[in-house]
Amino acid sequence: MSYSTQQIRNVALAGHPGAGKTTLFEALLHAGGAIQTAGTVERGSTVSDFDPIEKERGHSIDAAIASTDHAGIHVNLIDTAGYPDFRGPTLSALSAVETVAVVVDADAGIGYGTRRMMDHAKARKLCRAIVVNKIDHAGHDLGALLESLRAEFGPEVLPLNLPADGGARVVDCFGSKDGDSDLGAVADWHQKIIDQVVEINETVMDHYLDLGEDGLSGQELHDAFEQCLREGHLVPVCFVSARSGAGVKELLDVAEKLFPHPGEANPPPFVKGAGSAAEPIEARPDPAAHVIADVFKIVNDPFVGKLGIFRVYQGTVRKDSQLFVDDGKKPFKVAHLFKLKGKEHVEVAQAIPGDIAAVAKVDELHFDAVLHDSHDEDQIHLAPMAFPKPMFGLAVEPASKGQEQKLATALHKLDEEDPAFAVEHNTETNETVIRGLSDLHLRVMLQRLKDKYAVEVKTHPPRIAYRETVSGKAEGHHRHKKQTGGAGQFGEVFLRIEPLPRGGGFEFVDEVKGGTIPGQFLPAVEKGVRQVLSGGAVAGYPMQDVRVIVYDGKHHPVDSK
Amino acid sequence: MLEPIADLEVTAPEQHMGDISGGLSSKRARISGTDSLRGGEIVVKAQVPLSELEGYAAELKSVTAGRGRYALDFSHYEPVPAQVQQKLVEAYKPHHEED
Repeated sequence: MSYSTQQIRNVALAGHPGAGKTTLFEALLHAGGAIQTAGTVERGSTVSDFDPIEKERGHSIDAAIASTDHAGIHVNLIDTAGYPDFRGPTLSALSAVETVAVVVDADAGIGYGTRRMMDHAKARKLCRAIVVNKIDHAGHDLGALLESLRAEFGPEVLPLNLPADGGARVVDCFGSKDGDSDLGAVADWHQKIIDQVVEINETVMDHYLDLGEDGLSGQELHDAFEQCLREGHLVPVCFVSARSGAGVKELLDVAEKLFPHPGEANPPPFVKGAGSAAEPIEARPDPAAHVIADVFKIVNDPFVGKLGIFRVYQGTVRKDSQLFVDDGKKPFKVAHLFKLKGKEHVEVAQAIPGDIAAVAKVDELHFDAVLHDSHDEDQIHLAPMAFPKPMFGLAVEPASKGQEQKLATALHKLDEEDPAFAVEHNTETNETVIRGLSDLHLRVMLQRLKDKYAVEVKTHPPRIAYRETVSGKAEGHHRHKKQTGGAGQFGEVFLRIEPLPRGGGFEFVDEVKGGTIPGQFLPAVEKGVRQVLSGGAVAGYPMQDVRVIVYDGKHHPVDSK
Repeated sequence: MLEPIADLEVTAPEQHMGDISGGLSSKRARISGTDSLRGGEIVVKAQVPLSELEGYAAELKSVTAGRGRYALDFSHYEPVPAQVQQKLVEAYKPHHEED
């Protein structure tokens, strides 16, 4: 199906672990006709969790992307990991969508993952929706869950549809006011959501008060609804059972009718320039304008190479387009343009504003790179996201000698894929330290290292960079003499050593009087002192906050050199 | 001997305040302040020797049911207590004699 920007919906599924995001992703693709049969997480047959580690563990680690067509719209879906340990890829995926659908498990209720994702989406000014999953399970109270969602996230949380027949199906309560549901009369909920929507601006409110609901045109109500989503005045709730399929098609209908297209959401936070000189820039979803696209995900595949997945904000990226990366001078040519379907790549001819696509084998690409086709768009970037700082550290070294280079290359590739993973080299302790969000995060990364890049490592906690210093003054001298054949060597120095205030580093002071040590030898003396200090005195750690004063010495006119 | 001291900021729901400050005081930490955030969360600020923070991610996760998070930044160096110095010097000796 060919489609325009107005027909695109970008939706990320986010939320607490085990809420059923991956299963819902599968159900939506199935309902839209993108896949013939829906796989299951248990059997490891889902489109989204194709990574062997995901299959083995039974939960998502990386964000996965696929699209489906439905009733004249093209939905780009992103499935994200629920575990906070894998927030890196999850959060980066949120920058590519208009709508974040936070999936809530009807059995488990609100979890920290629910709150976290609601907060992130709100901070990023994304349209939020809540999808209550597993409504067909017996024994839970959906009315109580809805109340707790409203208590937690505000009275703007209101259902668009309601479970009926004990969760076997859902009934619309936004477009319709007839019938009955598991949560009471449809008309009551209909009234609540209409009241909430018309509140958004005075024009709509006046029309509504004067003429009643029937006095509002469909377009007017739609525009008011979009404004509510943009301003966070409404967080719609949909009920589904990803397993039984109840409410899944209805969710796609909601996406079609009510979720914003790329032109209806809050504009992406692009800025031009750096630091305080940065000015907001508008990216218009105009297919004829210059290209602005943002790389939100990097996948390094040992076979396919580097895949850069990007979201187009303005202009059209075509096969054979010449694109610049950030402020680069030399463009690269888009040899192949892909849409993704889990691990599969489907070649396409173009990507219009709002669409999500990928290019392969372009080494300059990195996470958050901006692609554009004119130097007018140099220095543009998206306002940075607040990523959690990777704090959990582990020192790694290859299990077998000679793999140092291979390890470094592989770590670099993993680093590119996950914004919450970092590799650093500590020169002081001479260790390569990998940092992530948790023990689990790093264990998964190390397993990837082994499975994908065939590098095995030994790990240990990073050494602490202790320092040594002196607590009092001291003096000392050393005489170096060698006159046993060959050229003679002679030198003698007198040193004083004193503590410096904390943070004072190292000072070398020359107080030699009367030329007892000629000036040309002093650099050598300093070098020697530094060498000894770097090895420490009592425990082998570098010494700091000391002043070393050379105040006297002896030299020999022939043998000192 | 000197050891690196980190500025630590722990954010968590306020009901875990006791567990967090208790955990920190067993790590030679000096708690410098506590702030309340909107939404019932608190931020505990402290200075802690870096060497004591090994495994802190897991500890925080278990006492706050996964809701706590922390950030740390290198602050400065401070002298280590005598017993820690003793251990470090001992750990160094065998290694040193090989050289």
